This record gives sequence, structure tokens and C-alpha cells, in this order.
Amino acid sequence: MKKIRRIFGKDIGAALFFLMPALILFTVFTAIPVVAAFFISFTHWDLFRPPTWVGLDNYTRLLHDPIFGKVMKNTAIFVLATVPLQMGLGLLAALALNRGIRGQTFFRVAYFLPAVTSTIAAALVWSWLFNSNYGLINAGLSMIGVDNVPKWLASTKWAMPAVIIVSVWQNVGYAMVLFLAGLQNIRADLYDAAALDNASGWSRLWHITLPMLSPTTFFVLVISIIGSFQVFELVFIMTEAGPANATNTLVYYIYQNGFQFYQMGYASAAAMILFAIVLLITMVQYTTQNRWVHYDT
Amino acid sequence: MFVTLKDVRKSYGNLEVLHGVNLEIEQGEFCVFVGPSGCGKSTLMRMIAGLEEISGGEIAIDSQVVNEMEPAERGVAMVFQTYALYPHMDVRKNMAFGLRMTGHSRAEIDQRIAQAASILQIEELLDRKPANLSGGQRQRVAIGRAIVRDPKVFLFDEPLSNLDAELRVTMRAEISQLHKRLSNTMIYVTHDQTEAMTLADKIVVLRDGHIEQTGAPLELYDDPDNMFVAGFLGSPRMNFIPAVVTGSGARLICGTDIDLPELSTKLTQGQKVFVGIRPEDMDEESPQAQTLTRSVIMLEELGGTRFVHADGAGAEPLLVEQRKRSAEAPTVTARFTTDRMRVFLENGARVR
Repeated sequence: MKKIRRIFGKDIGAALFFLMPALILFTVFTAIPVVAAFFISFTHWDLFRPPTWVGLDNYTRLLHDPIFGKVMKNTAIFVLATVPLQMGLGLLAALALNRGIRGQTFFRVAYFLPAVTSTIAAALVWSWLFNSNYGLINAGLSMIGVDNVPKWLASTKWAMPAVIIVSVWQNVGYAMVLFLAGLQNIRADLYDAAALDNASGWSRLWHITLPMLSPTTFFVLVISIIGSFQVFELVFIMTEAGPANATNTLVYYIYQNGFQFYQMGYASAAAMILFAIVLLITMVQYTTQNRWVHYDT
Repeated sequence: MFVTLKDVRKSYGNLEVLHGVNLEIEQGEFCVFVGPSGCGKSTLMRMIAGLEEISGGEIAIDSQVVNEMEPAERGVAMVFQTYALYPHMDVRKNMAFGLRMTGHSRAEIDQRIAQAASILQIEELLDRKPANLSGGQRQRVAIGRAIVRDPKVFLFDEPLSNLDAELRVTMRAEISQLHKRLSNTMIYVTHDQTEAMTLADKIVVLRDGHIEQTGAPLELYDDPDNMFVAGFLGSPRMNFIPAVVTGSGARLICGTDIDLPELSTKLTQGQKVFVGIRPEDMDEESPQAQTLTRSVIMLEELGGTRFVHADGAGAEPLLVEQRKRSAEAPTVTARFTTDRMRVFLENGARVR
């Protein structure tokens, strides 16, 4: 309190007044639930009877839960596939649009539109597109002569790739907009200097653009990884984790256990593990960033 | 001629910003483009570098037309106002980058860097990143990056503008010494007439996309073609006193009659002219000196010299430089001889 008073001085009343809405929302919807979940993860609780303290039981059960193992594997595959794809394609799109091609505004909007479209609506439309009997995608594949069209969302092999495709489609625009902003922040005089230094287009990309873009890349990487770990709506609408848990991912599994099987303690334990993984990865990223992130000062 | 510009033009859409520039620069010459902002001097330099397209005319370096050449093929190196050092590379890598891109051997690169670093005394900075250098050090590194490429022509684009006043004077002297030592051709852009006067073998005064005059610093200072050049070079600037031509000389705006110098062009009686006299030529001891007495508005005492601002009698205040100390007085008497007087027509053109 002393410190707060030192920072805000005699304006503390006004400062708290303006901070209040955000503070209340954060406390009620973030801080309390997180702390509560932490404690709930050490209990058995079905929402109707009072919770009973079971110590680490939920965590040991998770370790031996074969579905949880599969969920972890699915989540890892999903993250490892979507993050590089949406970042790579987003960067390519940004580089192309940054060259000032014709219809730049149109492409910018076209790529960004999926990012602002309701995930639920998009997932529904994509479910129809992926429909193995009547979907446009398989119609197209048949037309170009593919005989054994995949059953997509109904296939344990193709359901995950389908979800990944939609997720990448939805997030490429967001990455692209961030990369575009980053590209436009690179000082033009560096390219002048590079032109005089005989750097070819590729050299300029490799030696100037990518290093100078690294703060943006770092930011996009961090938020993409966090976002990918939290995939839920796509799975919820497109596959409901099926078939046979082929697309079951961490957040969906947490939802399933909490709100379908009424195992709040078990769900909370899984949530804690998700939290720990994301925290760990983000910490590793922050501590290794000075090896490859260059801030232009 | 080493660098030749023939009727060089630049336009952006319908807007022409350089209107046919003709210029010749000799090998080893230090040529300074000077002019107010927006005069086209930086654009002209960037066109020589190859960073701006040439809309018309021809630029040749070392008797090769470079219009269609890539910047790196022209044999020029440039030092930017913003330094333009690569922030993610240390000083050594910054200097090596151009050589690496042109495929020089490691040994050659190391040797050139060592040599340039010793010339510029930046050896102890080689492993630092630009962020950890002061402005002056960054500028040195930027110059070093140009030196290692051993260019036919050095281009300096307002290299001292981002430095503080004291450092600017030091770096100015260093660039001048560097030119003596390397004896490469150098082209230097500035808006600062002091830099132009002190550095140049040849000054090119630009205004609104035209060359106003080209010549050695003292040539331009003593024998300007027009009021713009006369006013731009020299600080404080030349006094321009409005006058009307009379039978025997001219009547100044304050009513004083003076003699004009011998002119080969005949002026007609009643014609309006400007009489230009530099402040330092307004306190002559000569017995032929004409005098003009005005009341004092303000006095700037600098110790070694002082500037007396006198009433302009309806025109701009008159500036008189006095190097001899004297008691402060309510009036000042300017003494000047006709040989230090320059006469300009109403449109600014010089009458010789």
C-alpha cells in the first residue's frame, strides 16, 4: 500500500477509481477462478456434493489415464503443426503484401477476415465443406481425379489434419497483420545501406528483414503457442473430440471432465498441467530470446 | 572528369524536383552540395548512389554511364545521416557485410577492417553493437564501413547533422583529414554553409532543383553570381541594402548617397538595385572608405569580435562587424570601400 501510494501520490483515489472496472473483472473472472481451480485440483467434486480433499490423487490418475496421454499427444501435434504453418504462411503473406502489389488492401482484408469471423460460424461452415459425402472439398478432390477421398471429420486419420487446416486458415491473417506492422517498422535506410553493400534480395531478407523482424516474430510465436494450446471451439463444433478421441485436445478434455462427467477436481488438475506447460514454454522463450531477438535501438 | 552529371532530372509523377543538373567533378575532388532543405541536394546524391531512379539525363562515374547499374556496381560507398548501421551486427560485422556480399576472402576482410579501424581509431569498438556506441562513434563506424569498400567515390549525406555542435566541429576536421589521407573523390551533402566552406574543394549551391553556382569556396564567397549564393555563404550573412541608381552612384534606402564600384553593365538612372556588403567589410580603415551612420539596435559582444545591429531604415537591420574594441555608442558608423561592394539587380542577379 505504501508503494502504491508512492506511485500514485495523492491521486490514489482517482487512480483506483479508474482501475476499478478492470480490477473487478480480473479478480472475479480470472484471479479467483485460477486460485480456486488450484485448490479444487486436490479434491473430488461433482458440483452437487461438497468437495472432498484427496491430495495428489487427481494428478496420479492423470498420469495413468490413457485418454489423457492421447490428449497430450494430440495437443502436441496440433501445436507443432499449427504454429509453424500459421507463422510461416503469415510471414509469406506479409512479405508479399509489403512489396506494394496491386490490390493490397483487398488481400489484406481477405486474409484478415477469418481472424475476425466467429469461430463457431466458421467451424460450422468448414464442417459442411469437409462433409465426406456432400462436402465441397471432396467434390473438388473427386473432380481432379482423387479416387479414395478421405472421410475427413469421420476418419481417425484425417480429422486432426482437418481441424489443423481450419485453425491455420483462421490464424494466418492475424499473424500476417502483426508481421506487416513489424515489416513497416524496419528502417528504410538499412535497405539503402544493404543495397550499397551488394546484398541480393535473399541476403536482404536473411540478413536484414528477418533479424529486424525478430521482435515481432517472438511476439507472434508466444501468442500463437498459447493460442494453439487453448484450441477448443473448433474441436467442440467440428468433431466433439472424435472420432475415438482422435481430435481430443487439452482444453476440450478439461471441459469434458468438468462439465460432462462432473469431475471438477480431475478437470482442474488437467487445467493446472496446461497452465504449467504454457508457463514453462513461455519462460523458456523469454530466457532464450536474447539469442535471436534483436531490438533496434 | 571523374564524375559527370549531364542534364540530370528527377520527377515524382508530374512534379519535377531536379530540373536538369550539369556538373563535373574531378578525381580526388571534395565536392559539397549545399542548399536549404528541399533544394534537391540529397535526392541528387541518392541518384548518384543508385538509390533513386534517374528520370532524365545521364550520370557517369569513372567514364562509365551508371544510370542502369545497381548501387553496389557503381563503386560508391555512402555514409548516411542516420548512420544506417545494422543494429543486430557488431561493428566488425557491420564493416564486413559489404565485403562478404562481394565475396572477399576472410583474410582480406580482416585486413581491410583492421586498416580502417586503425585509421578511424575504433579498434576497441569492433566487438560492440551499434546500440552501445555514442553518436560520434556510430558515425565513425559508418565511415569505416565506407572505407573498407575502397570506393571510387565516397558519398556523405549530411553525416554530421545528428551530432552535437562540439562533436560536429571535431568530426568535420577528421573528415577533411581523411580526404587528404585517402584522396578518393568525395561528394558531401549539407545544409550547413560552414561545413561547405571548410571542407570543399568545390561547392555546388543548389536551390529549388537548380544549381545556382559552382566553384571553389572563396570564389563563391568573393564573387557570387546572385543574391542567393551571396546570402547563403557567410555567417552572419551579407547585408543587402535597397538602393536606387543615381547619376553618380546610388542612393541608399536611408537617403545616403554612395559611390558604386566600376561595373561593365550600365545601370540606368532610377533603377532599383541591392548593394551587398558583408558585415566584416563594414569597418574598413581605408581613406577611400565611404561612411554610413545608423542608430544601434543591439550589440552582440563575442570578445574577439562584435556584431552591431543597426537600424535598417525600413529594410532589414544592418549588421556591422567590429574587431576593434570601442566604447558603446548610440550610433554606429559603417565604413566600406567600393571594392568589397557587390551590386545585385532587383531579381537577385549579380551586376559585375
